[in-house]
Amino acid sequence: MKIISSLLFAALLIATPACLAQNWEVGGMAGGGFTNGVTVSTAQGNATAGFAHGLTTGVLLGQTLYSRVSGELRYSVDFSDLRISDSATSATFKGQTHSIHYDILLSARSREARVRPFVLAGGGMRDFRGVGTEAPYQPLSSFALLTKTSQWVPVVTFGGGIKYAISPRVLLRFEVRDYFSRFPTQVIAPAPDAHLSGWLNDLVAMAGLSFVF
Amino acid sequence: MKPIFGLSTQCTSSVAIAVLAASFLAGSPAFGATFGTVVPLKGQAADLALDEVRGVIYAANFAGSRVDVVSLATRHASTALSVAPYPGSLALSPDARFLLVAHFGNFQAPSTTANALTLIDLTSGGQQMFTLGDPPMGVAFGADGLALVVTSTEFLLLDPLSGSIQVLDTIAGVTAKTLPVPPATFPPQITTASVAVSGDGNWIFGLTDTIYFRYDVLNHLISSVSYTATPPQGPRVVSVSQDGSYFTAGWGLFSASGLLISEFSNPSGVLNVGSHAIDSVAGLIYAQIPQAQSQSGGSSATTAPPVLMVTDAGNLTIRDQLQLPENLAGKSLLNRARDTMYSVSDSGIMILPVGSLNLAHRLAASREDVLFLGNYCTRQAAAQDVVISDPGGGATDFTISASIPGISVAPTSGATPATVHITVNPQFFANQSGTVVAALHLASRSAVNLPADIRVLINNRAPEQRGSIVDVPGKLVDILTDPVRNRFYLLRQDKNQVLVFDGASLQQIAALRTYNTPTQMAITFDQSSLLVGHDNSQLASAYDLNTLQPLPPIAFPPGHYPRSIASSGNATLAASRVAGPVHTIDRVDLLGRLAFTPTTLGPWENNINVNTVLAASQNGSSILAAMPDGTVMLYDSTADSFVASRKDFLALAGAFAASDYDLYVVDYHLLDSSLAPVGDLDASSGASSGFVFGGQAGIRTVVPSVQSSGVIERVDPNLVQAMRPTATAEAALTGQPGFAFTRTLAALPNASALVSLTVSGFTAIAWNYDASVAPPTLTRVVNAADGSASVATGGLVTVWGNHLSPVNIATNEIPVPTALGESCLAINGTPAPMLFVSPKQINAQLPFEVEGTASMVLHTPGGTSNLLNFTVLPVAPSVFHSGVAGPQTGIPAVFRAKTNQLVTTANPIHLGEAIMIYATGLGTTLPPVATGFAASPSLSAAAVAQPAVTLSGLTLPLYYAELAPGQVGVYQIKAFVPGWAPTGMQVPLTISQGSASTTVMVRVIR
Repeated sequence: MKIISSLLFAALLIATPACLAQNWEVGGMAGGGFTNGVTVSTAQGNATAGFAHGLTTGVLLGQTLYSRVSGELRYSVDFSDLRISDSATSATFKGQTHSIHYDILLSARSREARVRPFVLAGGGMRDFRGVGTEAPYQPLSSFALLTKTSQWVPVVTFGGGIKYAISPRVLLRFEVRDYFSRFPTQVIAPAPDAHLSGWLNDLVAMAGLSFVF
Repeated sequence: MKPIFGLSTQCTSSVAIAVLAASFLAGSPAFGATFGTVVPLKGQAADLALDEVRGVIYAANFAGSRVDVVSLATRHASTALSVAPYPGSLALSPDARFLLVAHFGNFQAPSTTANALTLIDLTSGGQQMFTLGDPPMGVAFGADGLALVVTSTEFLLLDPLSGSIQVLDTIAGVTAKTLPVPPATFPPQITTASVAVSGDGNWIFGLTDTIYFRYDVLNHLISSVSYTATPPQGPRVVSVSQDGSYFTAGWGLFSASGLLISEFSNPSGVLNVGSHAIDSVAGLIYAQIPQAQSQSGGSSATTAPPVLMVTDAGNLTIRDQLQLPENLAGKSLLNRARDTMYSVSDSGIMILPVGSLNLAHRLAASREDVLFLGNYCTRQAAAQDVVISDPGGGATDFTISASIPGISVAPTSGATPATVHITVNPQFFANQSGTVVAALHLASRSAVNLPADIRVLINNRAPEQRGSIVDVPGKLVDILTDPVRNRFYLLRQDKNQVLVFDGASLQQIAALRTYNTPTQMAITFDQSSLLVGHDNSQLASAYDLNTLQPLPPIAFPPGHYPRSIASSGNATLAASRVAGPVHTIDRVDLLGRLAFTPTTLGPWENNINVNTVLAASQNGSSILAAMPDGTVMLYDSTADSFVASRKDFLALAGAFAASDYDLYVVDYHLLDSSLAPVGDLDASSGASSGFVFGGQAGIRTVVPSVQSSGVIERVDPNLVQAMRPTATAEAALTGQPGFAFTRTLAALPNASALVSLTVSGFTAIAWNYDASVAPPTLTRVVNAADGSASVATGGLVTVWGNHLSPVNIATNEIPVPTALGESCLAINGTPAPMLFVSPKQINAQLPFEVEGTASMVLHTPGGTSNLLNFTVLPVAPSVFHSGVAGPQTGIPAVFRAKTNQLVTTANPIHLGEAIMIYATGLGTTLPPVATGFAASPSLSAAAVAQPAVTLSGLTLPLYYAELAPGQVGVYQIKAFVPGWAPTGMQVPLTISQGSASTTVMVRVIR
């Protein structure tokens, strides 16, 4: 958390001079994430590694750069367990994914409109963490090892959503975005003689409120 | 009134024990300390009442016409309450306002009777008297504030507030003593009754000469049961558990409904000596029960020193014995904190701080048995250690001495805690056959308890003797195999336990609690349950054999003690000792959990010898009953009746068994399907002990003499001949007075081995013990940790070969024996301690005395092996590959110190934490630890050659490298993995000492 706080503070410092004359938006959102699994191959067979579905929450700090263009600094945490499974067995390990990124939002309508659809794209970093209780034996450990450690990975995000103005200063937001990153192979580590490759798509749907001032 | 409720206790069997105990105690030279403080009173206390509100205890001074008031703080009788003559019992109301005194003034004419009650208001000091027509035998207050008064004819209910008395019920058949009585008659012998209330005040139980009763305080209901008891129910005291679910009365422990759960063994039945009190929370009963033969003629004087037993409340198993300054002599009470017991005693009141027992000096030995197994590799002196301690942790003086020469102890005296080194000179016992049994006697001037002797067993086997001796302390009385589960069960009578052993490893896997004095076991015909009969309980214990959990016990008819049980395909029968002139065969209803007594045994009377034993055939077709007077009977499950009974012999004893093919064995006689003798086996070879049928043949054990090894021989029933007698390492058990029959031999499933109850515990004998035995051959010796060829002095090794041992056997003994099973291993002539032997593998420790070129030789009954030459290095570190994680085995024994969990790929080493590595082959230590001995937990034995531990080349800081405390030949290395150490899935962890090194792969993460 210390690292995340520092990054957030740095981002605020960078963004602040450019938007002194702009509207600000702060808000919070919650939703759920759905990730793809990746195949782990060994001479004995295949298994699927990835993350279970979990709750996602986050906060945002937005700035209106132009009438239809805004920027957002976001932090979110995804409570998704690490998971590996084959046709008969599965194993999970408590996990968390912390994300911090900056996105550019392009709105279809100007800021005065009550309903504003938008598309977004951006980038940042994700911190994948295994936080479960370790034990000498883990099922399917011949494929991959769900590990109590953490790993920072660059991430690209893109998606879209809609803002609905409940009042001049309160917005209801719905959005769907995809986090696209390398698979965290230190947290879900392929076993010796196992092959794991691929990219991780984490599709997150969220809803929330934000306040404009 | 209900029918007669018979009770008795068996006396004759324990005479010898009592005499021995008496002689031991009389000869005990140095136990001078006692537990408890006597507050003397002038006169004799008849009853007690504890008033914790006022900090006093009231004692009814029977002949002094007063109630003595003893301060709990000063422990002095400071004042007295003057009351009418002959206060025989007392009770304090729950609110501590009223003290009720019952006066037993039952004088014969022409004297005037003075039966009365005095109600004392302790707040105002006022007294109110109630005259009674009959003598009051006991009083007690219930939780409702009303007092139950028991007279010889009525149950009365007294309301202390109104002074009204209500008749609850009448009593018949109780005869009160009349005054005057002869001199030296004590209050319990005069009132002959005791009444006590449960801790919650909801139940009152009482005992007189002829009835038990229970009073339900909440519902004002009385239920009483008549009884007869031999000997009488003494001490005449009743104690009740907190919730009234069980109580002790006299020498018996009863359920609330009156079932005799267990009884104290061999009581004298004297009414005025002894006492007891129940601590329900701790599950304990404190009791002094005088033993038969140790009391003299009904007076309070006894020849044996008074001893307070601390027993298990469930089955009266003795946990400790404390010497008392004098006899207890009536009621005992525990205070609310359960830390102090107050008892009527010979001189007044005894105060026993049972909650502070740990502050009293006591002695305890770390081992019950010390077994010395000599071997034919060497005849050098053997030594073992016993730790003498005070269970309370204090420093208690002790002396220790051996009962026979040839055994030396050092030191012979000292203060606890102390390690006593016991040395046996085998030359002293060189001409002794079998196992010599001796004792180490502990004594102390300050200890208040009576520690049991330590049994010393010395066996110097000859090469031709067969069997592997396994030490099992205690008195073992029965053995039974479980063919379904490859287990066998031993019955340990002195601790009231069934010991469960695994048939493959011969290791104990469980202990099941029985009731008091278990005698014989049986497996039900459906193989699901184990039943256990007892000599001191009217219940048969039952256990689920799949879960090894207790099942509801089987209740036998009142007065019936099921001593021998057998289960056929149609009926489960028990031979019961009965409190009365006729002993019976009872039939068990397994579903109803009770037993009943058939009126006849087929055409024969149901009247058997008290020492009758039963044996069922394995196929459930029949049950043999054998009696020491020579009578035999046969139950046939098809006819569901007894079909044969004969008496062809003057006496029978020893082995008894039933085959699946209508052949029976009792003693050395073979009997046919009509129990007609078909022939006798040779009786001159020794006393009969055990017999098992296997296939169409049998195997028996006999004991030539008390001080000899045993003999096992095969029996051909067709030829009526015992064949190929073979000496065993030690003798099987034989019968005792009162228990003439013995079941001491059992065959493990699949004919894997025979197990014989023997002097030291049991002896495992290979099924083919009499086959010609091939000489052993040694093929190679490797490091036991990882199977590598490098071995070091003091390290653990695995020896591979053929015919290394006739049976599989492992040991946890420390020091590790140099003879295990029937094998002994020598390296350069020095015996090597062995942890495991089997036909193809031996695990052993290389002696520290051996280094350089070495020759190994193995001795077995088959002869002497080839010489195996190898090199013993000064150091050869190797990490044990003994870790197990789920289905994964062979994992290096590297542990994360923080969690004490095995390091695996799923549980990797984290940077910045410590690890513990278990290895062998690190060589000599400082201080040195003798071969076969474990390192002391209190003194680190560090490796002389300090190892270096590296992680992918990075040297790790070491905390220590030493012998693992409590283990033999196993070293532990604790190292720290710094934050800058390399990480990875397969990081080499290397332990090196000089040029010798070993490497294992571990996963390391941040």
